Amino acid sequence: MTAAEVVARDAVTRGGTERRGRRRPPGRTVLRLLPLSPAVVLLGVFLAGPILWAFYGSLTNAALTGVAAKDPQWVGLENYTELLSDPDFLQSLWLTVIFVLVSAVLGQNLLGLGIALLMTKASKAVSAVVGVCVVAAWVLPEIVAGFVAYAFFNREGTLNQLTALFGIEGTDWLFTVPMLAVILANIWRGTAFSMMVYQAALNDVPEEITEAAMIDGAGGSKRLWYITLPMIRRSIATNLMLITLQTLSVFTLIYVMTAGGPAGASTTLPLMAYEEAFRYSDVGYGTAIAVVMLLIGAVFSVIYIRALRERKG
Amino acid sequence: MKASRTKERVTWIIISVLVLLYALFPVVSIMATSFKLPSELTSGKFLPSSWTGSNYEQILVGSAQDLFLSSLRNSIGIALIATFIAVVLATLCAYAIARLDFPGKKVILTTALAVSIFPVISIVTPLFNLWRNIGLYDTWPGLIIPYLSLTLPISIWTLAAFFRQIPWELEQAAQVDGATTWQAFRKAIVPLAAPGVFTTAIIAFFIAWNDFVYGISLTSTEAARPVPAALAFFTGASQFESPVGAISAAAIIVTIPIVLLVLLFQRQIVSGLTQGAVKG
Repeated sequence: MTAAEVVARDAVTRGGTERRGRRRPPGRTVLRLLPLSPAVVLLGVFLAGPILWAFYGSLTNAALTGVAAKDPQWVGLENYTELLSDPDFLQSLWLTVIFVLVSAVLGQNLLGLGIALLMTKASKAVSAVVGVCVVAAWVLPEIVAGFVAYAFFNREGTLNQLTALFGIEGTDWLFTVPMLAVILANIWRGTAFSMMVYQAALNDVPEEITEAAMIDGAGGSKRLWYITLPMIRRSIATNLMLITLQTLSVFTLIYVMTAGGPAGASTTLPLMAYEEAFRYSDVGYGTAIAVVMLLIGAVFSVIYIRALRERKG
Repeated sequence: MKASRTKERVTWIIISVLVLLYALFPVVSIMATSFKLPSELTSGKFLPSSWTGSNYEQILVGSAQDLFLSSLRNSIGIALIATFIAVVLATLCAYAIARLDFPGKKVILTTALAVSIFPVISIVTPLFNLWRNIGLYDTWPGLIIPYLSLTLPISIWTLAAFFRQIPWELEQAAQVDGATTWQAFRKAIVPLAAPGVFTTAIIAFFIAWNDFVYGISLTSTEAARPVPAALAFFTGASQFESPVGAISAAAIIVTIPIVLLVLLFQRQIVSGLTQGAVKG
């Protein structure tokens, strides 16, 4: 979003100087839009189309099968009012917020920042090797990551083999503490992205500034808090926004590990939306949940943008 | 002085080992599982006591061959086609956005980004309905199109950022030196743009290759089911055998191309993914 704005702004200024020189013949703009058209049409029909349908669908009683599938009726905000009085939804909403806060905002973000800061001090060889491995873990197909996490946390899993070494008998972690398990799995899977973003951002912080602060007698933590972090503020905001939105829509990882269970104890909103639409075939209700997810994403985004702008003054 | 340096080095080695363990340990454990006999899965040992290739045999030439090989073919074909189309269309788009002057440019970029963060889970239901009505359900195009809508926005975004950094004056300079428009483009611009296009292609391929949600919702047979979705359909050699060994073997096979790409092109991938987030 930020990069996009800069691209647009750059282009506008460049176009401005161009325009001064010569007048554009009419029809030129149309010609210039031509290279865009295939992508725009495709995205318009197959991405924006379904999204608009989702908004519309959330106001109907659309279903996959039965009478409502043939001829969905307009029900207005009924799906939404039903959501608010549905204890399953309220629990799912709560679980989603916890999942996002603990696994993305705290876990991935802080751990990624920590590793990135460590790596600025590491030798080239160390940071290269660590970089490759962390990225390799990050690009694992989500289903494989989910399966890996499942194999780690289940009753016969690696974690229990490890605890057995110390003579502690483990439990089925996916059954006793499902949320903790999926949160840890998501931290494991996503940390690399934050690390990469922060590594790139830290590389852009001019060394002279931190050095000057060091000469003025600022200790390590002071330099971090007053110099480094404010300088990478924009990257922090962008990173938080990206990982929040990404974590909000995590589906596969949880689906593979616990399928939302036991008894809904790890059913975040994407799982609930999928269940409602595909298992209970209540498409309207399912898409209403998806719209709520969008709203949550928007709320988080606004908070980040606000919080990180205020510190400027 | 010397002692402190050794100490520092030891600390670094410990830190690296911890990070590596954290990143790779679960993956290594899957790899170990993929070489275990079914009877050994619950033995509680980390490494197999006798290494066996039977899990790989089962999915490549044995009972799970049909399920796995057809899905592998689907995955490779669909991901490559989707990547190719996405990169071509995104290049056109990003070129226009970086080079040409027209109204609504900002709107296009922000809209692309806004729709790309829309949760996949809510797009899949409308598509499921639509595909069943127009006969795209369980076909290659039926997956290629949603993969395009996943990969195009991020491709346009990454490429536009790349193209923005290209010194386009080179093209004019080449023309002043007597090159034709096409020559100027091919000789001066293409070599500069190629790394960006290539990075975008890798990222797009990851996205298409790793998808699970579309793969499981929009297919029903081996005609189009990709590997990630097929993993969910594995069963043991007999009803009483756990499929964990076969799933591990299949998981390792789908992961290999991805890991190879990362090892070869890690630097480009990281810069492609982060420059949008950082340079903004």
